[in-house]
Amino acid sequence: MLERPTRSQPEFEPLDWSSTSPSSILSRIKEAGIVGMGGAGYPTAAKLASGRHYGTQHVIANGVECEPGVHADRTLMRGYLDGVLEGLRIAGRCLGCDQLTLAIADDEVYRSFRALNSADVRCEIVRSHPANGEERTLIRTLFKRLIPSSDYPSQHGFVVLNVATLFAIYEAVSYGARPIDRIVTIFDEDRWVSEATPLQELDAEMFPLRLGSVATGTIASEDATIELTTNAVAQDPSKLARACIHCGWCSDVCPRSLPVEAMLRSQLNGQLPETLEDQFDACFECGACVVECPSTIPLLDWIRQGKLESNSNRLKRRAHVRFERRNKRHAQHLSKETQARETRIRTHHEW
Amino acid sequence: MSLVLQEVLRVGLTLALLATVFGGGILMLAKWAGSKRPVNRLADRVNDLLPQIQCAKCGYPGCLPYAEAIVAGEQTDLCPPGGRDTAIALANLMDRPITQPSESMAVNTVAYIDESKCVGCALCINECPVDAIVGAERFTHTVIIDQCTGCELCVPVCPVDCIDLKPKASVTYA
Repeated sequence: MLERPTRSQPEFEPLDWSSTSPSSILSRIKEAGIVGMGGAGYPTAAKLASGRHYGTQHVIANGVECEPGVHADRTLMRGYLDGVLEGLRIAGRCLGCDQLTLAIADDEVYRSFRALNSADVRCEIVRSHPANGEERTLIRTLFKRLIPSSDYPSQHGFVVLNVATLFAIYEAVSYGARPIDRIVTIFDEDRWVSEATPLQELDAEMFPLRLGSVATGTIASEDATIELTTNAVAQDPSKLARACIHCGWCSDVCPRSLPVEAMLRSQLNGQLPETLEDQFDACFECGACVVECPSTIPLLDWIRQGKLESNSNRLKRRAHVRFERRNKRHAQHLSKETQARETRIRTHHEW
Repeated sequence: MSLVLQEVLRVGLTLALLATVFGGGILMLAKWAGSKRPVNRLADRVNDLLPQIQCAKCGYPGCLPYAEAIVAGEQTDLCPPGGRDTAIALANLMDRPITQPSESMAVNTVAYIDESKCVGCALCINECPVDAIVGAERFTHTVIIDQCTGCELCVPVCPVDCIDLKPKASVTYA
């Protein structure tokens, strides 16, 4: 088990979750300020409240950590699996749902064998692919249900929570502590790191750094800090990038079958055709293409840039269309007013 | 008249008739489509480069009128929100010497109406070039953030000075 120097002292009264009402569990989670620790940072209390509102059939613990070179969640499950499972049970009680699932990647089978023995939690093993860590893809893999990207999974009866979030729930409820630390993979080594640790404390020779994995992380500024949503810190590999050799592997591995090479070219040329804009939006940044690229091109950086550009292009087009429509309407309105005035003048000229 | 000549005439006339009908149809369709959307004019390409803020700071009532004026010979450096990049792109497209705009304008801002001060005069609604303000006379107005381009045109007309420009990232739906 990993040494944990950063554990916080309990601030709240520890609760026995099996005899506490779901609403007081929810208010405790809200009080502790728990956010989704898988990366997005969605407020967990809001997610659970939404799950309670729409009714939940399945609570899924997401231990499918498939970003390349990140093993923070694996380390957490290896050392603190009981806590994670307790957190899952607490979430299940809060949502009034007893269908609990722990999803793990297929290289985790041996390490989490204890999960298979627990009576109330089903352990599901999915293929270790970068896309499977994303919640909608995970639901599709496990339950063959397609959640449209416009909806939250909780609107369809699924609540997916990262294992680190579940551990934070367990600590907040059963121990009474706020989440102030998490396991972070720093240069391929897992450590408990407290929140808001500046990156400057790390090895200066490794700069520039990425917050997140080598493939999916974003380039960190000099004064950036490690937050609760940061699962890894990696060295930035973009200076190793070579020219694109048009091998097409990026499109082959893309779980959405996007034309990654065409998207890259549109960014390098600075000409983004309208037909590619939806393709940029469809990317959910799993990083599979970056892992596969033999020229180590930071494809995801270009795609993120393209997302911004396609968004602004769309806004520009919409503003133009609205401007034209408004001008047309004003012209019609004005010509109607002028006609009315002329009629008035023509018909009332007694004076 | 021989049978062969008859046959040739029959086939030829039928084909000529079909060609007239379909050709005429295609011509009519093309005319209809052309009236709907004139494509690939030079002014449209210029317009694509402009930022579509519709702020009228260039002296023309909007981006498309300015684009048409550029094609007619207007200077390419009159767009403050577009700034340096737009001026360069325009000059390159029109093959003219590159000049920089003299004034600049903050982009990525949206108008924000302080609803506690708004008197519902509907002056700003008339002024907004992209219909991004909702409201009616004697009712408070508000800005549709997704549609607002931050053109600043609504600010001077407000009689109670309740409209501010804020950075887009700082404004969210309540």
